[in-house]
Amino acid sequence: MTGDRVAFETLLTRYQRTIFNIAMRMLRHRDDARDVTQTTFLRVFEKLDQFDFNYKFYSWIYRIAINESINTLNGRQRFAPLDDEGVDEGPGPREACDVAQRDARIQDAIMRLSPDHRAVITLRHFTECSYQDIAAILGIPEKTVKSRLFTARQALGERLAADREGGV
Amino acid sequence: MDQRTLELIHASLDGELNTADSLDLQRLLAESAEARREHERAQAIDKALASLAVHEPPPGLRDAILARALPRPATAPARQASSAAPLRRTGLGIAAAIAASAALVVVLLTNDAQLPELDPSALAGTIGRHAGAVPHAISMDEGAVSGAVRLHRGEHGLVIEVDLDSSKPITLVARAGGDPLEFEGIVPLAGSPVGATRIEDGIRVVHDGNQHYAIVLRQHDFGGSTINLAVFDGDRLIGETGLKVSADGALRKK
Repeated sequence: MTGDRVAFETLLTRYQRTIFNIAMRMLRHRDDARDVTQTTFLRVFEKLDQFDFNYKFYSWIYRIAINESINTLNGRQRFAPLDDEGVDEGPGPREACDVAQRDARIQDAIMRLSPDHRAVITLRHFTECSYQDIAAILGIPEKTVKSRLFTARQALGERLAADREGGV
Repeated sequence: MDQRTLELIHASLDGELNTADSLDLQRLLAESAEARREHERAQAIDKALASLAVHEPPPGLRDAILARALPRPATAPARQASSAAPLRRTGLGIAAAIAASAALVVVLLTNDAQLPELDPSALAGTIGRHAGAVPHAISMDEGAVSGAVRLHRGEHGLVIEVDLDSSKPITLVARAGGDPLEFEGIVPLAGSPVGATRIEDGIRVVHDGNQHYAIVLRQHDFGGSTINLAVFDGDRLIGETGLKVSADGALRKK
């Protein structure tokens, strides 16, 4: 049990922040991201004896986190339209809140992507997975990874450009 | 623009080009203004995504996961009882159990999600490669309060980002080294709007429930000044930290 604990604590130390950030990028909701992180590690713990060590561990745990995030998205019913998130109606010049607003604007754009596109953006930009890793994690061909990344970036670019033109 | 050029441009940003493809891309960029525009556009998106601050996991999450996966015999009854419910409902109880004394640390956040755990006492943050986006944070896990307070420095001033979950009203007070803070206002980032009151030497925000907002401070010559943040439960101080803004723009733990 002590060995289990040490090993599991090591995994937590190594991956907790990354898994939480994957979930935050997918869900943009701290409570949900916290639950997804917890569920991901509990699934890892339950199924560790089934893990094939010929595969990359991070691919496995990232896949669990993405799937749990998508499950959570599918179960969502309580959220207001995305336009209501990250509002910038506070007093004072808008440009003064540059960092927080910019982050909110970018995350808004990410949240407008489909879950499939959000997943490739999350894995590529926030975990630095390769095309091959992403293909393995999502169970899709590398060619599909490339096309989804391209489509997602086009959509992000258009959204961010529209925000800039709108003076946000 | 043809498909091959687009693929090369995006693969270059993703570090997926071999030498031959890289040379091919350089040639295409030299020959085509359209390709250069697309390259710049893709780079801008890549840069925007890279600029996003990393989210720090909630205090207490690690212990909660350990408690559910590997409950210790001595504490099993209490932890098993709470583990039946989702973490969000048990987090505060677990936090209270593990925070016999207030846990208040200052951590440096960077954009590298793979960084090892850092020793908060050793940190002296600078703007560094994440200019404009490097926050410092108080990670708070003190009984009824959990979450983080982060300080960002941007082109136009300072932003105190507050993301706290409290089970009862608390008060956040921000003061700047002896000089009154000039604040523009509060920007809700999620949840309901919040209100702030200007006090003699700073600002005070009454905070209740799970709220995420940004306190925006007017452009100010903060060089050499300090920002003090304190959180109160009633009259009781439950967490505080100080950050010094150096003349060179760096943020350092006070």
